[in-house]
Amino acid sequence: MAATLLELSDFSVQYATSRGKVRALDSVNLKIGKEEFVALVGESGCGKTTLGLAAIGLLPPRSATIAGGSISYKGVDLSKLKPGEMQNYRGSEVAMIFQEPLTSLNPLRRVGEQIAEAIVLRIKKRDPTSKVKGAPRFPGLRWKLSPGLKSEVEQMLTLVRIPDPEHIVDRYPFELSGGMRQRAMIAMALSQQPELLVADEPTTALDVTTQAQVLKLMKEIKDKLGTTIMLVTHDLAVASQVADRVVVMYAGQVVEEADVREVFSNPKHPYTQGLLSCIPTGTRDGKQLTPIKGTIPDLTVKKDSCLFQPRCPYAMEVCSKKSPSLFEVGKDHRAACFLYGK
Amino acid sequence: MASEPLMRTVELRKYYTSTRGVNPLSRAKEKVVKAVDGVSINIPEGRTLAVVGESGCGKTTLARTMALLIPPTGGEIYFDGRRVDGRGVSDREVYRKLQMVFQDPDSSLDPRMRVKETIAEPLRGLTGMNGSEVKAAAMESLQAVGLSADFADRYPKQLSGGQKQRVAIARAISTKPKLLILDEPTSALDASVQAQILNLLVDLQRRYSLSYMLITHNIAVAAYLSDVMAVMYAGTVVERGPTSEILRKPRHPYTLALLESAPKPDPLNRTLLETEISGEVPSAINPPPGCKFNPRCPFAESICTEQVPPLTLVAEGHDAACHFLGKTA
Repeated sequence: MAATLLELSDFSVQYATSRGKVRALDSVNLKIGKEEFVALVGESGCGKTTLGLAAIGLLPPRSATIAGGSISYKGVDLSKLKPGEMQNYRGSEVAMIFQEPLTSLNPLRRVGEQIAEAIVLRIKKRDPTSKVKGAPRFPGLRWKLSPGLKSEVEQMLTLVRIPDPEHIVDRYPFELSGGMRQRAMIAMALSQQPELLVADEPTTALDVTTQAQVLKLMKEIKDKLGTTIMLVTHDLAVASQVADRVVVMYAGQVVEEADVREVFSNPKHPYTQGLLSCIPTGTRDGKQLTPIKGTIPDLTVKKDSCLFQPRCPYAMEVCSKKSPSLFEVGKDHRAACFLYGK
Repeated sequence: MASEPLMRTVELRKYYTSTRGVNPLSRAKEKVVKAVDGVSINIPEGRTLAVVGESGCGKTTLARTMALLIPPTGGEIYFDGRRVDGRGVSDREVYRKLQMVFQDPDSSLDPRMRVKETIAEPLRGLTGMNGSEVKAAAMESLQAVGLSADFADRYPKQLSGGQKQRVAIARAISTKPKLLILDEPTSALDASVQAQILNLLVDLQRRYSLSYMLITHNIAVAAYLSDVMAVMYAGTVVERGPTSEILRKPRHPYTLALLESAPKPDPLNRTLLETEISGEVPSAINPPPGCKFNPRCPFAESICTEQVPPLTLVAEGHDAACHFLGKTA
């Protein structure tokens, strides 16, 4: 693996709810290397989005608390950053794209202005003395982009393969299709030239042919700009098509991580195996799918056991007594299961 | 298929008119959205027809029109041996034999009804059963979807997503229908729960010799569950035929693109990154002239912008609507 960019060690996050503390992330150890394309996969409630939010320092401040461990970016502990430093880190080092572009774009501002805002921020961060003018203070005013800025915005739009960028610059988000909006979001995220791009279910709201185009674009960006990408998805098939490395999460814990080919050809953790056997492939021809029995555990209760044990077909005595750590099961392949260590 | 299909449509159309603003003068510029534009499909008895396509292609409108939830603009619908669109047809008669399961059980289940009341509702409304018969039939239905009797007194909020969808299915099968129209039945569910529901649907079909019409955007689910498939694009069927044949040898360029872009859990076979498709589904108000797929089609020539290609037979029971079927052969 190349130099580590993001490192989580024993990182735990809890949410305060009316039912008590929900252990959304439970002692997560994870390293993300430079220029990697990592997919975080798991079902709803497994903590993958929380991990994505933690990486960009956007955990909801009132309900979420870091209950232990650390998350560091290039060796700097993110939880110790002051708000101003965090603001600097966000955007220029790491950027995020969300599932629903329509709710993350400002409906009252033209797409070009929104991308220009990010570009102006970048210029001012690099050179605080710069005279470049930002958006007008009064929100209702239209922002006339200077020719230089406008051409930079158009370049960004071309980069994300938006056809006809001169016209799209002046469009409002509602005038664009879903795929175009997501491309505009990606353009905005990339315009601060971040090293790490966190994409939380970026294609879940899109149609499959559009999804294919957006995923292809992300892969291209990674290859062209060397951006590290952390893709959060519930869809193993999507992960298999684009990621280099796959991290499987269950109930707030990492249960398996390996190279993408390894995960799909040689899954070790019973949960990963279960997830893979749930995906229908080809016609039925009398085959039955093998669903994982049971449901996800209640995360408000602290358990000193393997959290998958009640649903696991291989559960042993030890599984209900202590929690497994990640064991080496192959080259760069780890699984948290007592089948592979003690 | 020699036998008469359980349900079929002939040139079914559903148009919506869109008016802009409240100005009556602008009514002159009224635009027509052809959500479903001349769809002829068959649902074979005891089998599953999957209607696949992307959002906005009209598949849900088609399902709702066929379920008589919205009146068609034109065309014919036949179900169980007789015509059911138009006047003189008792909805209740049809609904006893035709039920629907919706995508999101959170919005299709009444939050203030207990599970047993939800399941009993169609029985009360559509059959002449008395109280104890209704109760027995509801419990039977509940059991058929793999939920124990303890669930009867619960409210939807006390159930998980998968359990809620089971209740929705139990309600649909309570009147012993012949046909279930399933509108994205597993799209709101996690992978492991989706597998449970798919297994349940297969099991129920076998047990009660049900026919299904499955509406989905998920090719993997359609492939797994269906016997025959219809691919829709911008309100029309562009290809239809046996599922195995379409998967093996898709003939319409759109079907080809759709199958390529559908992600498969196989990192050694990254078809998704090779797909050439560009653009998006056209606007329904202002579709391109000729073949509606022509702006995105790699084979498009001038004829494609002038003439709408008819569905042409390419193999037994398999037809596709393209001017250049020779190029995909």
